[in-house]
Amino acid sequence: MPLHNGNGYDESALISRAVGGDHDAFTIIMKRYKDRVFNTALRLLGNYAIAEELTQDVFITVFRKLHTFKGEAKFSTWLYRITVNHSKNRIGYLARRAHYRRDELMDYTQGDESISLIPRTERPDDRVGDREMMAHLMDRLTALKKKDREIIILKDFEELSYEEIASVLNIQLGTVKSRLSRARRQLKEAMKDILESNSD
Amino acid sequence: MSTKIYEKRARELLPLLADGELSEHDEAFVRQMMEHDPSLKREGDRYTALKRLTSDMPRAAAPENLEEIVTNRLLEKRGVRSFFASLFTSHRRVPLEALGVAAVAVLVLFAVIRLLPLSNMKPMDESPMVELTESIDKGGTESPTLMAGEDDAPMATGAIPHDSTGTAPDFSSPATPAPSPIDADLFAEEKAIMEEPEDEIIAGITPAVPEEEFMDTEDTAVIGTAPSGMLTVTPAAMTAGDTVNRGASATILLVSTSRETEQPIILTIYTKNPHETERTIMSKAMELGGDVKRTRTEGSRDTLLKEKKESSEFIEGNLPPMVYLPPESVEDLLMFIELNYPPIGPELEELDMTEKEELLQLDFTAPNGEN
Repeated sequence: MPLHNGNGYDESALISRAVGGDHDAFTIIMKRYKDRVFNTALRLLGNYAIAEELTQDVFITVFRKLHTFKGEAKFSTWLYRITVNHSKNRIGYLARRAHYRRDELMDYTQGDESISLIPRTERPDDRVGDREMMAHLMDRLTALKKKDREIIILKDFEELSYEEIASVLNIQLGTVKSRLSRARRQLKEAMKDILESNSD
Repeated sequence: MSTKIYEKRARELLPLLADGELSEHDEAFVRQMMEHDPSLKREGDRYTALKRLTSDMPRAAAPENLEEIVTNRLLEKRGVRSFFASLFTSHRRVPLEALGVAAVAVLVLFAVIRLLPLSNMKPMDESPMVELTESIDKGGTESPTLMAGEDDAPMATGAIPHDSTGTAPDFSSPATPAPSPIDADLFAEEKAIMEEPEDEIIAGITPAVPEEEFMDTEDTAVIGTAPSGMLTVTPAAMTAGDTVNRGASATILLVSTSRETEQPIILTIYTKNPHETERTIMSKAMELGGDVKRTRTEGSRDTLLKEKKESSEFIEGNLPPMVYLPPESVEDLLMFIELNYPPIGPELEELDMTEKEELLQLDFTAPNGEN
């Protein structure tokens, strides 16, 4: 199977090769998906260091379980499912720790430096504005219930379809809609001041 | 349908309008309602702005060297295991004669070590195992721990995992002397081969898990540690009527890790049929090479020692059987659980009734038809 199909590396060929032990193919898979996994983990967990470690764990799981991926769903959906489940476990674990403090999870910095951002639009905004807005948004987001936060992240940040979200979270399509509707209402209320100042 | 009900329905659908995934009928309905109600229109505009805001948020860049780190971690895990396999692969074939010589050399070395006087042994009271025992005792648990030099299987806190056949896996005698300098190298090599570099294997006893990790919590109880490098998997079903309404039960699966660097993993799985869930998970653990052990939950050290002398088996305690899971199967079991039983315990209370019902496949309708 050709690895490169003219539009980039063919995903199913990459997966087949990675399953067969081709490390280069697995590296390409990691390069392709690491930002998505990392961002999902970062937004769910709210801590750069924990998200970084969790991203590693996710790819180690993927490497070990890649042979079980049958291609019935999209690879990205399978990957998100692993990421979300890993994150849930980690959140549960952190919440049970005796010395757990909520503010520990509110660290979006990479040590002493701010994290690097990849713009998603061609807007000429300065990055400082992006960072501030991101910090505001993440603060509001992390204040939401976990279920609400999770679905907002998958839909609005990761841009998954309702069907993909249903598959990732293992819930019905109707539940995706009702939960997303509720989550957006909560977030809209939490972001009221910013939305109003932006509309002025 | 009254106007209020129409409006309520429109407000439910409004947050989803900007996604473009509503059915044609629903979208037409919402747009029609917005045309007639300025407040709905304003609210719709806010949702659109919110959607734009979140969609435009920049992504954080994942660490550049992530691939390298993951590769190194994978190689660390695989390295020693694949070493012997690699000897026989075509690209790195080692002559069998060389292997033969090496094997003889190892045997000779072992023979020499066996014949060496035991002058290099540390006194027992200075051995790490005693320190470990003391550390457990200081932890305030009433664990019937064995002292160094006693010829028995190692025990830790609470229940004592032990093989009913008397052949507990990977148990080396706690009375094993501290290694001589020559032994130390062999111990290190053996340790590396067992692929548990993060474990401090001290005289056959699993390193103590930090005390705080063994505190009783609301939904579980301490059950003890597994033999070196192995995990203990045990179910404990309980009724959780207060938490998830009538009819629901909770299955608690406790996977207590023996690794010093990792933490015990406690998974709570809510299910309609906890016993079936337990059986499924325990079967999977067995399928993955796990070994069923009997458990013991109480008894003083003296009593246990006496019983041990009288019988080669411990009597089954009041906890369900445990499965000792080899380290290489742990990921497989956790993956199995993750994929089949997403852990939802802590979040359960946040769900509304419909979601609970759907998730747990429960019927919350009371027998008399009331809800």
